[in-house]
Formats: sequence, structure tokens, C-alpha cells
Amino acid sequence: MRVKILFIFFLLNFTLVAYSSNTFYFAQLKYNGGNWDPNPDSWSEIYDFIVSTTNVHCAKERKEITLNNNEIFNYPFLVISGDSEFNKFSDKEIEILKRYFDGGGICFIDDASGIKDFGFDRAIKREFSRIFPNSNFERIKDNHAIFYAFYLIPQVVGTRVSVPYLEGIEYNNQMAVIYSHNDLFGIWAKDKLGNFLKDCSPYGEKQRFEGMKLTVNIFMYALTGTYKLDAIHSQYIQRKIEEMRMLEK
Amino acid sequence: MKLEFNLWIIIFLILIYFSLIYIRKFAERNKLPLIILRTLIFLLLVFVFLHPVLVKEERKIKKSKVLVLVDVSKSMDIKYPFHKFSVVKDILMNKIDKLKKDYNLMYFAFAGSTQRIVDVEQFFKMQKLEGKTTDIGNALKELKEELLNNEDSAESSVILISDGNHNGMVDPIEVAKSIGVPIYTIGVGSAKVGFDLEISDVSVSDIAFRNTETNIIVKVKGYNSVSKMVSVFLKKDKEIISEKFVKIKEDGKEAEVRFNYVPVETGKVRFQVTIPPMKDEINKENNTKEFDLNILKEKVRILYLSGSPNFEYRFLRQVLKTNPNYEVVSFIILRSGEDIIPFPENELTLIPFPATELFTKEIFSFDILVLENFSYIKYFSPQLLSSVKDFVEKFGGAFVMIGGEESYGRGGYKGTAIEEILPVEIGGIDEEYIQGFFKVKPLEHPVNVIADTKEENEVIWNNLPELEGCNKFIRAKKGAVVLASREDLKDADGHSLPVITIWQRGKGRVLAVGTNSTWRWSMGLASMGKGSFYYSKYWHQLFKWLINTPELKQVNVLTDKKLYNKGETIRVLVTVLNDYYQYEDNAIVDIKLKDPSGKILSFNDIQYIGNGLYECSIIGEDIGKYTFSANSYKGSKSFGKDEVIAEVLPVSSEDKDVFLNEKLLQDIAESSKGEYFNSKNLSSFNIKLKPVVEVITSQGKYVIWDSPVFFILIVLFLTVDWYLRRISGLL
Repeated sequence: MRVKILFIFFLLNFTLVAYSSNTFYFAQLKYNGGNWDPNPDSWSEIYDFIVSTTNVHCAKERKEITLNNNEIFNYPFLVISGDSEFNKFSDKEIEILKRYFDGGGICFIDDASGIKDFGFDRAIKREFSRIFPNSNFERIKDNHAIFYAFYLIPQVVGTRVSVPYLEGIEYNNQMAVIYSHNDLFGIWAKDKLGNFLKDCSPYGEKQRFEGMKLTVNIFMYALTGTYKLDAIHSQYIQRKIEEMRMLEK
Repeated sequence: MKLEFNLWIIIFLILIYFSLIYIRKFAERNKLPLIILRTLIFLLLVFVFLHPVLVKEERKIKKSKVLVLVDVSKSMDIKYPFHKFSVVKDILMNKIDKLKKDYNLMYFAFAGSTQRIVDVEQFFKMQKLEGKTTDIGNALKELKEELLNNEDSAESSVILISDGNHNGMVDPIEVAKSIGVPIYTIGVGSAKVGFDLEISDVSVSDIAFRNTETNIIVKVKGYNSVSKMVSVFLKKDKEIISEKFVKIKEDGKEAEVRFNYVPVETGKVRFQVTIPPMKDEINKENNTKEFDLNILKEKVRILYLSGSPNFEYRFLRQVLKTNPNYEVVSFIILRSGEDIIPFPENELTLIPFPATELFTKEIFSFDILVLENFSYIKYFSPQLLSSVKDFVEKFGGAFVMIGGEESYGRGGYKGTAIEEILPVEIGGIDEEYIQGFFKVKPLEHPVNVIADTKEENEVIWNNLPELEGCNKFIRAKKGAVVLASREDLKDADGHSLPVITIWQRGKGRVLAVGTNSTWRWSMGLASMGKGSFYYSKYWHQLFKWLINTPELKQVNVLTDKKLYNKGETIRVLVTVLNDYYQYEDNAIVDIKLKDPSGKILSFNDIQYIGNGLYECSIIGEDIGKYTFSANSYKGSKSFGKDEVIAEVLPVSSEDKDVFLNEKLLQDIAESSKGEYFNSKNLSSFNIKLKPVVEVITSQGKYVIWDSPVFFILIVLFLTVDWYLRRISGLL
């Protein structure tokens, strides 16, 4: 019995370290000023959840990306997180981000402060208006593929529900920037004993689960795009939505 | 003889006016002789200043020229309802030739080409008319050139004697408008004898799309059939698919009937439109017309199966989605059997993977199947994969396998039907997957051309970012084309390791990509400020090759028409493009013909006519299909080959055209300011051309102002003036 358990342990370990050439990495932008990492260990929780519940080949390693070189171009999905105002990006950094989106990059922004038009949100809007001078953040419609990418998402939440929807910028025929104002990654944060660090308000643990599902969907969207809107899938999804509504009644 | 002055004449007239005023003043003082003398001196001086020139012309009277153009095509020899050419001979003898006493007559005979006839007697000697086409436009064009080369053309006219059944390439109305002399047309034949129905024209696009309505417009003419309701059938491969009715409202005037047809199949399909022959119809051969429709797929349907959510899928889907002609249906294995979902199933959007349905039935409704890092082992048995082989080899589908750790040998494809259709030899389940970054070296091949010039293309390929991870194939199979390889690794034969390989397998095409990291090209190029353009373009090129799009063909052969009447010339045109899709001027083009009897002929007289075009022609003497195949190369470089089929029909339009096309002859006359006459009523025939014309044959100019006579006269008048004033005591 002991031998058997050891063997399983070995296999697991092997799959974790032998990253394939197309392994998905959690890449997060490390910018100057402010707090680039308000939920430092959330990525690890997200990794565990995605690996155990989906077929995404993920690496248990976070890549901290700066904009002073071209490393960002190895990671077509980038997370920007924060809870306070940060320094203005240099012109070179703005150019790198423009090229990143030109190449097909997708970025998820998580405002951990949950305060709109203040601090982090103000800095994000300031910098993205430089990257996309002709586009503003718009509300992402409820029927967007993000909300069907893996789970059905009835509600946009985080540790709070400051803004009950996602915002985004569409570029290159895709939602290139996805923006949550609700501290989405905060729901994953745990202490060393495995207890959740932040409470979810106002719906408690149910809200946390919805946040978990939304997180998975955002990652899935970054890897699969809008394919859930293809007719063959959307018909099935439509049926599921109707079933869900029936159950709620 | 005449005197020519220059524009000083106006000044001269003004001076006369002032002279008259002066004379009147002096006349009052009875000094008339002096006034006259001085006026004469003044006039003489003015005359000399005007530099008068004496012009001497010689004129001659000449006869006006009349060019008589006689139709000697086969239709003029038809004996029903009467022999038209006999009527022509009668007109020539009794009407036209009599004009020679007033006019200079020049005779021409025309059918497909035009020939000068020295004497009218030659027409009378003609026994059988063999002209296979009636090209009135070309004949008028040749006369126009004849007139342009002749200085007397303004005083000429043309008489055209024909049944008006033009079936040539040059528009006679357009030529008539520009010919510059009146054309008097004489129509021979009858427009109103016998009952006939005819399909005069069918308008339809050469290309139609499956499941998309296409319009077929059929024009029907009737003779002695006013108010008759005619039924018109549209047939596909002799089977009736639709019937429409049309009412003939006016004799000889086209009535239109429209079929709206929605093709369900693809490929080249032969259609017929036909009017069922009626009992008293005088010509039943003009009741049917055939045409080919090349029916294309309305959209290229792509079935994409991805083994897991990954960037290669997202980036490639993004490329495919930008082409509105592609319809992508994807299945991604989002969750494997080992994954545990902590939420109720009804909150998931995942649908079961319909493997059996896809691989037994649905696959055949697609055009391209893509398996990307997808191992079938967990989902279905290898037997299902045999349908992929059939899909490619028998049904002409395209298959793409994109690499990864669960693809090729590692995906369990060794020993399956997939292995047979792949252009590379693969290993077993333990096939090596090589980690790490690498660059690829492209082959010079049209699919690899992503820039406008060779130099630019090389720069782009050299700058393409590195890819990551590749499947180690054993080798490329014989007959496969390795589009890109990595030089740092060798295959089993010591050649560079194939990365992107293509080949034709049966009716279909296969692409094997030994990596699933091409998305790195998009991101890497973007890091250099080049966006994702070349990445997208390359994948589009690969997909165009897979569906065998004509855009990627370097050799294109076509004929000027699809259907020919017996005896017509079939013109074959071959366009050759080099690897950069520029016209190739120095290619060797080999054109072969398989004639209706199955005999293979080679063309030796292929002409280069510019812009990458090569031409040859042959007369379609035999009825049936003519298959032209063209093969082009330059040194050892082959540009490819192409094939086209033309068909020669048994009935020539010269056999079908029984009636007189009076309208065309009227239009020709009207366009050239001439007049139309029917052969049955030539009593009023008159060509309204002056019989003779005065022509200047020579002209001479002599300068007279410097003649000594004028100088002597001026001196003489001045002397007399001096003398008169002296004796009058005016000095």
C-alpha cells in the first residue's frame, strides 16, 4: 500500500515539473508604484483549482512580468492587479503594451480596492487611454463568450460586488482587456492554515463560488476565445440556461 | 487659279474705309486726279504688303467608291424557305452591278473572314457556301481599314448583303458607328415564313454557390407564334428540375423567363434549357441550349478538434474567423475524466464530445478536419479513424494534424488510418517530443510566399520568432513536400527535421505541423512592431492550399468559351505565374489535347502574347469533349499544371439560323446613317451618293508681291503725281 501511494506521488510530481512547450503560465504585470500584488498567493490557489477541475495544462509558477523587455510576448494572457494608484507607464512601456495587444494578447485587470474612479481604477483608465486612445472601457454584455466559457455565470462578483458587471476593451476581434472592479482574486486568498482570508459580501460563500467560476471562465476565454458562441455549443447552452431558470423557479 | 491672302486683309479693309473719307474731302476741292493717283499708290503699297500668293489647282472628275460586302456564310446556302444566295446573285446582277456605270464598285465576300472579290462573276461561280461563321462586325472592321487607307473615303459608301445572322466576335453596331461612311444594308431571307421557337440566349454566371440561389435567365424568340404560351424546361443531366411558361408577345422579339435554382451539390454540372419541339416547327434544333455551372461550396467548413484549451487553438481560430468564407466548428477537450468539478453539472456549459457521430457521419459535411494536439485514445476506437482516410482520399477533404505532446505517435496514431494519410512517418506512443526553442527554414514554395518580393519574403522568414517544442518525425514520406524544417535536428535519413509538411493524398490534401506553438510567430512579430499580419497570412496560405483554391494556382488554362459549335475555333489561353505570383514571361508551356476520339495531340505553335499569357488554337471539327492540359516549367522549376474541358456541339449556328435578322441590319444601317432595304422590295433602293466627285489632283503656289511690275507702277504713279502738282502750281 505504501509503495502504491509513493508511486502516485511520483507521477503527480512528474506531471507538475515536466512543463510542455505550451504550458499555461500565470503571468502578472509588476509595475512601478502602488501595489502590483494585493493578493500574493491567489495565483497558486487558482492554479490548483484549474488543474484539478479542467484540462488546461498549467504550470505552478507565476511569471512576474515587467515592461522593460519583451518577455511579456511569451505570455498571451496577462494579469494586472492592484489596489492603489501606480506610476505612469513610460512611452516605451505603452508601446510594448500596444504591440502586445496587436499580437493577440489578452489582459485581465483586477481592481482589489473595489473603488471606481479612484486610485487603481483611475490609474488603469489613464494608462489604457494611452494604449487605446480611440477606445474606452465598455460594459461586457451578459451574452459574451466569457460568461459561457466553462461555467454558466449568472453574476459578476468578487469579494465584493462594487460593479455587478465586467468592463472590457474590444480589439483585434476579441475582448483584449477584461476588467473586474470587485477584487476577484481576493476570493482565492488563503492563510497558511488554508482558511480564506477575505470574506465575500454581501452573499457570503455562495458569492465566493460564483467568483471561482468566473475566474475559471476568464482563463478559459483567454485560451479558447469565443468558440462557445458557435451554433453547436450555443444551442446547448441556451437549453441549460432555460433549465437553470426552471430550477430557480 | 486663285489668289490667297493672309489675315492682313482685315487691316486692308480698314485702310480702304479711311481712304474713302480722304477722297471725299479732296473731291470737294476739285483735285480728283491727284486723289485717284494717290489712292492707287496707296492701294498698290497695301497690295504688296499683303504678300499675295497665286495658287494654281488642277481638278479631275472621279467616280465615288461603293464597297459591296456579300455574306457567303453557310446560312446563306440554306434552301428553306428559299435559297438566299440565289436571291443575292439576283440582286448583284440586277441591282448592284448596274451601279458600276456611276460608281467605282469593289466587291468583298465575308463569312468568318473577309476576302476581296475582283469581279462580280466570281459570286455567280460559287457553288456551295462553307463559311462556318457570320462575322459582320469583323467584315465591317476590315472595310473600315480599307477606307482609312484610301484618301477618297469621305465619298464612299458600303452595301452589305446578308441574312444578318451574325455569330462572330466583333460587335457590328459598334463598328458601324465608327466607320464614317453610310452602310446600306440589304436583308435577304424571310422573317415571317414558318413557325419556330428558339432559345436565343441563356445568361448565367459561370460560378454558383451551394445552397445559394442562382438566377438562370433564358431568352426565347418565336416566329409566327404571337400570343403562344411556351413552356421552358430547366434540366440537369437530362432530368427536369423546373418548368416555366412564357408568352411570345411579338415576332422575333426576345421574351425572358427566369429560373431561380438553388444547387445542393458541388462541382461542374451540365444543365439544359429546352422548349419541347412542336409539331409544325420548322427548326427543332434551336430549341435547346446547354451550359455548365461550376458549383462551389458556399463556405469552407472546418471541424477543429483540440486536445486541450491552449493558445495555438485561440490564435488559429482567430485567424480562421477573420475569413468570412470559413465556418469553424470546434470541440475542445475542456475537462478530462480525471478532473473533478465541485459544482453541479447543470452549471457547466460543456457538451459531450460526439465522437462517433462526428467520425462516422458528420465529418463528410466538412471540408477540413483539424486535429490539434488531440489523442483519440481516451474517446473512441481507432476503427473510427478510417473514415478520416476516406474523407481525404475518396471525398477530397483536407486533413490537418497539429503537433504537441498528445499528437502523432504520442497520440496513438501509429498503425491507424491516420498514419497512412500523414505525409510524415511517425513513431509509436513513445515518440520523442523535443522541448526547447527552434527556428524553421522555409522551402522556396508558393505556399511559403507571404511577401510581395523574394527579398522581402526572405527577410520575413529570417525574422520569424522561434517556435517551442516539436514532434520528432522519423522522416517525410516520399512524395511529400517539406515546407519548413529545422536544420539543427536531423531525421532518420540525415535530412533537416520536417516541421511543416504537405502532400496530396487521393483526392484530398494533408498538412502535418510538428508543433503547436505557431502562435509565437504572432506574438513575436508583434514585439518587433509587425503585428500579427504575417502569422495570419501564412495560415491563410496553408488553408488555401488545403482547399486547393485557384488563387494559389500558378498555371491556369482556359478556353475562350465552354461550348463551341462544330467548326468553330477553340482558343486556348494559359496564364503562368512565378512563385511570387508575377507574370512569368519566359516559361516553357506544354499544351496537350485529348480530342473526342481519345487521341493525344501536342501543340507546337504556342504563342506568347504578353502578361504571362500563352496561346494556341484549334478548330473543333469533331463533336465531343476536348480536354486541354497545360504544364509549365522553367529549367528544373515546375510551375504546375492545369486542365480545362471544352465541348463541341453537333449543330452550328449557321445551320440553325434560318430566318432573316432584320433588326440587326436595320441597326447597322441606322448607326452609320445609311438605310435598310429588304431584298423583296428593292424598287426604292438608292444609295444617296454623288456618282462623281471633283478631286484636286495637283496644286501650285506662286509668290507675286515681289514682282518688279508693282515697283515700276508705284514709281510711275508717284512721278505723275509730282508732275500734276507741278503743273497745277501746288509745289
